[in-house]
This record gives sequence, C-alpha cells and structure tokens, in this order.
Amino acid sequence: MNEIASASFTALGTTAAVFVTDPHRLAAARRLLEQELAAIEQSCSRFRADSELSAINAAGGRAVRVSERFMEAIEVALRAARLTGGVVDPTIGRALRAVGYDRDFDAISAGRSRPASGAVVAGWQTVEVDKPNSSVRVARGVELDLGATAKALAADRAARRVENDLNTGVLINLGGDLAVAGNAPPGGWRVRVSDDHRDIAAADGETVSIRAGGLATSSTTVRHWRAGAGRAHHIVDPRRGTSASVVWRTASVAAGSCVDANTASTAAIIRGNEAAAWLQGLRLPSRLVHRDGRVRRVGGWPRTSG
Amino acid sequence: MLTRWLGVSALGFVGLLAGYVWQSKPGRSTGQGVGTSAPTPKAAPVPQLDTGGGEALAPPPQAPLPAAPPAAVSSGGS
Repeated sequence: MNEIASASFTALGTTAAVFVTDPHRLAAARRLLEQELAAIEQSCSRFRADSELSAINAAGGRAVRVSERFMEAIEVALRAARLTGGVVDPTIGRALRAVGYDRDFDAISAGRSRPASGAVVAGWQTVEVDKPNSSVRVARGVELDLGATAKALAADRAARRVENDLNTGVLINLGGDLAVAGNAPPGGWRVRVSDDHRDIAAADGETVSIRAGGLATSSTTVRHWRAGAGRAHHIVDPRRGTSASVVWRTASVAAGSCVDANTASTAAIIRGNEAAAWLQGLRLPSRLVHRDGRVRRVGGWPRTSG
Repeated sequence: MLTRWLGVSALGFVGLLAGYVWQSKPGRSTGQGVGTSAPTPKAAPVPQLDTGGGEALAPPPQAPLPAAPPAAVSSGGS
C-alpha cells in the first residue's frame, strides 16, 4: 500500500478519512469529502437546530419543503426500513432521546447518568414523502433520525464523486463505515475489523481486503452510557422503543454499498438471534461478535489468521 | 317435476343474461378480459437513487478476502 495517500479529520462526531491510490489527488479528494459531509450535516443532523431534519421534527405535523439532498436521504432511509422489515426505522428519534442520546455523544459520555426510558416508535410507514412538491411530513410528536443511513450515504456519494471527478481509486472511512470506488490498490484495501474503529491494532480483530462496495460495522461497545442502574446504547429496537438487547455486541457486514452494509449491520444488532440466518439468506458476508466474544462468520466472510 | 325443472332453468338463464349485461357496461371487468376495464393510471416512476436504490440489500461484487496485517484502514464501532 506504498502509493496510497490519506487524510483524516473530525466530522459528524467521528473520524473521517479519505484514502486515494493517486497521491496527487489527495487534496482535491479531501475537499470533495468535506463538501459531502457539510451537506449531509446541514440536511440530516439531529443536533443542529438549523438542519432540514430538525425543521421537520419541529414542524408540528406540517409538511416541510426539503432539498434534493434531504429527499435522497429520506428515500434511502425508508428503503432501508422496507428491506429490513422495519427494524432499521427512521422514526426512532424520540426513542433515541428517551434512552439518553439527546445531544452529541461526547457530551453524553461526559455528563451525568440518568435512567433511560423508552418511547413508542411511530413506524416508517407514517412518513409522508411528496416528491413532486419536494416536501416531507411526519405526525406531530414523531421525530426522524437518519443515523443508520445518512453517514453511509455520504460515504458512498463521496467515494463515487472522487472516482468520477478525480479518476483515482478511493476509500472513504466515516467512523468505520467504508465506501470504495475505482481501482483498488494491488492486494485490495486492507481493513482491520474490530469492536472499535479507533483501535486499528485491536488484538481481537482481524484483517481482510476489499475491492468494491462497502463495509460497515455496528457496535454496542463504543457509543454506550450509564443509564441509572443499567446501560444504554445508541442502537434502538423500534419494536420496543429502547436500546436493542445485546446478543451480538458488534456486527461487520460487506455489501454492494456502504448504505447497504450499514443497514445490514444495524439490523443484525437489532435482530439478535435471527441475524445470522437473515444475513446468510441475503448472501451478505458478515462477521458477528457475540457478547461473550465468540465470533461467527456467515455469508462468505473469510476465516483469517489475524 | 318437469314444470319445476323448467322454472329453475328459466331463472338460471335470466340470471346469466343479467350478469352478461351488467359486465358489458363500460368500466366493469372480472379481471380476466383485456381492454374491457377503464384504463388504470400509470404508477409514478420510482426514482433511481444514486445509492442503494435496488429492491434488495446488495451483496458486494466480491466477498472480503483474508489479508495479512498491518492494515491502514479500520472498521469498527464508532
């Protein structure tokens, strides 16, 4: 991987990184990534009062005109809900607040513990999208959260723009959610898969190479917090309106895009005991880490030596 | 007996005739004929999304392969 150049910075409350096979394209690739991230944050952030998503959540049941960017993001989110039987649901915003994820995660982890409650999730079918009039409406009290798909969408969009505009092989990494486009380096993009994307040398991880599509990891081990006598994390099961029960603490999935990979990895955490058969049926190569540390590989995920 | 049989047959014939006349009205169809029903409006075209637009979660073009460390890229919880 000698010819690969990379740049990283903080964005969307996590680490953003771009890797290119043509080092001369790095600066331009970084600019494209920054543009995509700024646009997705302006559209879809739950923590920005001036985002389009916040405007919809605060509209009291009225339809809100949205940008093409938001329209794409909400359609991607609704598709994810449809293809997962509703377990990845964009109407979990209120439940996320109820379990304690009501501000940027750094502020939560530094703050005082309080008991987590839950909230009824209205369901993705209640979201009204009026494409001809470019508007979106949710019922009063329903709050959208696009956390399971918007970041991955930004990764896919950025990777494709870098490839198309700059003609270089590229890998985008947004907090462990990866999108790849263009020609991969010899041997593919080597990726360390583990519980925590910040620990690239994690002993309990393993290394694989990918050449196309996306790879995403969802985990309950990083974005969690004390909640009264128990513990809460950021992956909400919309069927219960609370943090999902932890059968698999971490799920890594490879797919045709980062959106599909992250949709499947999030759904795997929520589906729990049913996840392995579901992923196998979809032929999605996946690595599931049980809460006790045992690893299960399905869908063609390779057995590695380290 | 014959009278009763003729009565039932006549009633059946009238019923069949009435059904035929009803179905022949414009806009009515049993769903088996072609061109007898009113034209159905075309469904709005499904937008082709830039990303992830298929009707199934798509597997990768190639499954991940085993690789030797070190890796420059990390995928884990965030």
